[in-house]
Amino acid sequence: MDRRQFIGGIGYGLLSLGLVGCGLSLSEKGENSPNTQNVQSTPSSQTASSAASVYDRSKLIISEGTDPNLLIEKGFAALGGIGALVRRGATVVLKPNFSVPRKPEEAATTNPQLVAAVVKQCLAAGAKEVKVIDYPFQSPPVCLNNSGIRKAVEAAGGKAYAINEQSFYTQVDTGGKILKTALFSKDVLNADVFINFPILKHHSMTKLTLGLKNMMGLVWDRGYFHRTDLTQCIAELAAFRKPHLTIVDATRGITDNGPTGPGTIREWNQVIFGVDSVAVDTYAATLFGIKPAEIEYITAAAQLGVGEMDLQKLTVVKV
Amino acid sequence: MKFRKALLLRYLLQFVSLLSFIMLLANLSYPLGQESLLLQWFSRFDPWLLLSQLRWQREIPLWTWLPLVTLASTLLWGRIFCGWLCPFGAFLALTDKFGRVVFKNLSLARSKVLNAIQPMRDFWLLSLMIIFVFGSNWVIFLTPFALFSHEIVRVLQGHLPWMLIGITISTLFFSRFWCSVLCPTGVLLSFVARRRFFRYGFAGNCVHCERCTGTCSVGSAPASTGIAKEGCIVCGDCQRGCPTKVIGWQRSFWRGKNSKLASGGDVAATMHQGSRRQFFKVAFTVATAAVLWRKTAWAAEKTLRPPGALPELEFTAVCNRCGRCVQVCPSKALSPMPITDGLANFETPYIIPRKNRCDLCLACQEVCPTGAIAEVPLEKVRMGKADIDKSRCIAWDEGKMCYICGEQCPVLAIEADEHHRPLILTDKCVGCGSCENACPIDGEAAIRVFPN
Repeated sequence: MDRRQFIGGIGYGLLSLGLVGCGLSLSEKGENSPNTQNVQSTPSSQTASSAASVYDRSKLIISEGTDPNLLIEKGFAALGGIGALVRRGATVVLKPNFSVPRKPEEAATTNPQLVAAVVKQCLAAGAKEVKVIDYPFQSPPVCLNNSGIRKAVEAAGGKAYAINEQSFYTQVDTGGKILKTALFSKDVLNADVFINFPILKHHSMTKLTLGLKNMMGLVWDRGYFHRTDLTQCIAELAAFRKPHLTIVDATRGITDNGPTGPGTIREWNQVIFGVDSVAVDTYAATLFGIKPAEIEYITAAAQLGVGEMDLQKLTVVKV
Repeated sequence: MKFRKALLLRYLLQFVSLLSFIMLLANLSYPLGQESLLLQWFSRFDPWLLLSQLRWQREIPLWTWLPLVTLASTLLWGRIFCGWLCPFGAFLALTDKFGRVVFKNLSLARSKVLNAIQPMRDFWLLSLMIIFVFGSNWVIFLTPFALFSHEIVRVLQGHLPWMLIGITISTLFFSRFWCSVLCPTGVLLSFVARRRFFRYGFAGNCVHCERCTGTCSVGSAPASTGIAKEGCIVCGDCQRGCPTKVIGWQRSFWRGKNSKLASGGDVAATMHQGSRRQFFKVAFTVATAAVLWRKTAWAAEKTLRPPGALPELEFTAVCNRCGRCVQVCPSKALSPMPITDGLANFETPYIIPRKNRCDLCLACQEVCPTGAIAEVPLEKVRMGKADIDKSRCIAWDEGKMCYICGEQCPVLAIEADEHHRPLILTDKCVGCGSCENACPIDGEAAIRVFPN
C-alpha cells in the first residue's frame, strides 16, 4: 500500500513538474546544488526526490486517518517523499502552535504525536538537526510541558524550545506597507528547511488561526500587529517569509473560546499539506465551515500575491 | 578510635545535608518533582515551623512528629540537630574551620567574644518570642531553613546574598556565633537543651589548659563549669582535643547530687543578679519596636500576591521569605519585594503583571513550607480583578481590532462585544495579569489588575 502510494506520489510529482514548468526554476536550482544527496536507494525514487525538491505549489495533500505516524507518512509520500525537501545535513525548523498551556487532548495546540512524526521523518531523511519552536503566550516550561511537545519531540530526537527572549530574533526588512521591519526568528532565517505546522482552531479575533496566523509566533513584537492592523500585518509577514511547507493539524481543534481554550472540540481527522500557505488556509477554513473570504488575513495575503485562494485552481489529493 | 567514627559520621551527615539542600533548591523548577517534597520534609525538622503552623493555621499538622523528633533528640543530647544535621550549620562549620586555619592568631579573641556574648541568648530568645507572638514571621525568616534557602535562592537568581556574606565573614572571625546566640532555632534548642539528659562533662582532673574553650565553636566548652553549657552542639571537638582525656559523656541527674555544679541554668544563674532592670529595658525596647513595626511595616501599596496567598496582613506575617516560590516560578512572575516597600513586606513574593504574568501553574503553593501560599484550587484563586481604562484602550478609544487581552486570558474572563472591544467578566477573573502583560500600548497598560 505504501509503495503504491509512494509511486503514485512520484507520478504526481512528475505530472506537476510538467504542468507548472517554468514556475519551478527555484527547485531546479536546488536540484543542481552540490549538496544534493539522495536518501533513497532505488533509481525511481532518486528521480522523484530530485524532481520535486520543492513540492508542487498547486497541490494540496489531505491525509486522512487517526494514526499520527501514518497521517504524516502518507502525506509526505503523496507530496513526493520527504527526501526531496530535507537533504542530508539540513537544519529543519518546525513551527507548531504550543502558545497556550493546554494539554494535547484539549485541542488547542498542535498534536505532539504529529510533530514527533515529522521530526522522525526529517531525521530519517538525514536532517542534521530538527528544531521545534514557538513563542508561547505563557512561560516556556508551562507550555512545553502541558502541550506534550517537549516530551514527544525529544523522544523523536528533535529539540523543542520556546523563543521567548529577544536574543532569538534579528531585525529584518519585511518590506510591507505597515510591517516595514520586524524582529524575526533567527532560527527560521538560518534554517535550510522551514515547516509551518499550525493547528486548525477557533480564534476570537481573526475567527480562525491557521498557517498565516501561526507565523506571528516568529515575531518578537506581536503587540505591534494588534496596535496597527492585525490582518494586514499577518498578510505582510506571510509575504516576507514563506514556509517551504505548511502542515495543518486538522485532526481536531476547538471551535470556540480560541485561541486559549478550553473550548468545544471537533474532530476532522485530517492533516493538510501544502506549499502555498494561502491555499492551505483556504482549504482549512472551508473544512472548518467558514468561508475563506471571511478570514481577512487570507484575503489580504492573497491580494499581496502570497498564494491562491481559488480552490478550483488547485489539485486536492486525498490520501 | 570510636571518636573518629562519630566524627566521620558527623562530617558525612553534614556534607549530605549541605549538598542536598543546595541541590534541592537549585533543582526546584516547574514541573515539580520529588525535590519539592524532600525539601518540604527536610524543613520540618525545625520546631519553629511547627510553632508557626500552630500560631497561624491553628491546627496540628500531620508532620508534627518530625520537629518533635528534633526536640526529643535535643532533650537527650542537646543541640545535635545544629551540630550534625542543619545545612546552614554545616555551611558555617565549614566556614569556621576555614576561618580557624586562615586567621590562627585570632583564636583568643574568638573564644573571648564567643563566651562574652553567651548571655545574649536568653534575651534574644525572649525578644523573638515576643515578636513572634505579636505577629511577625521574620523570626522564622532567620531560621536556617528559611534564611539559608532565601540566600541560596538569591544567588541562583543572580542577586547579592548580603546576609549570607555578612554571616560568613563574621563567622570567619568569631566562629559560629550565629548558631550560638542568634539563630532562632539554635536559641530555642539551647533553651530546651538545659534539661538535656546526656552531655559532655569532666570525669577526672582538668588541668585547666583551656584548650576546650579555644576549640569550641559555640562558646559552650565545659572548662569553667565542669559540664558543657546548653549551647553545646555535640560536635565532640572538646573531647577529641582534651590532652588529659577528662571530657566524656555524662548523665544529667535532673535533681541529682551534682546539680549545684551542673545546673542547666548555669548561665542564667550568673546573669540573674541585677538582670531584672536589664530585662525591663529589653522588654520595653521590644515592645516599642513591635509598635513601630506596625507603623513602618506596610509602607507599600497593596500588590498582587501569589495565587492562593493568604489575606495580605496574614500573608506577610506567615511568609518566612524562604524564596522557594520565587525560585520555582516558571514565568518569573514572582519576585521578592525590596526593603523600600516596608520591613513587613521585605522579601515577600509579589507579582508585577506588566513585567511578568502568572501562569497559574500553582507550583508556588506546593513549595511553600509555611502555608502562606495556601493550596487553593485554580477555580478558587482570586488574586485580583482586571479593570479597563477605556480612554486608553485602543479598541474602545480608537476602534482598533486589538483584543490581545481577550486572546491571552487563560480563564476566558474577557469577552468581545460586537466591535471586538474587550469586556471583563469580573466573576471569572482570577487576576493573573495576562491581559495587563499583553496590552500592546506603550507605558502603563490600558487594562490593569488590581489586588483584592
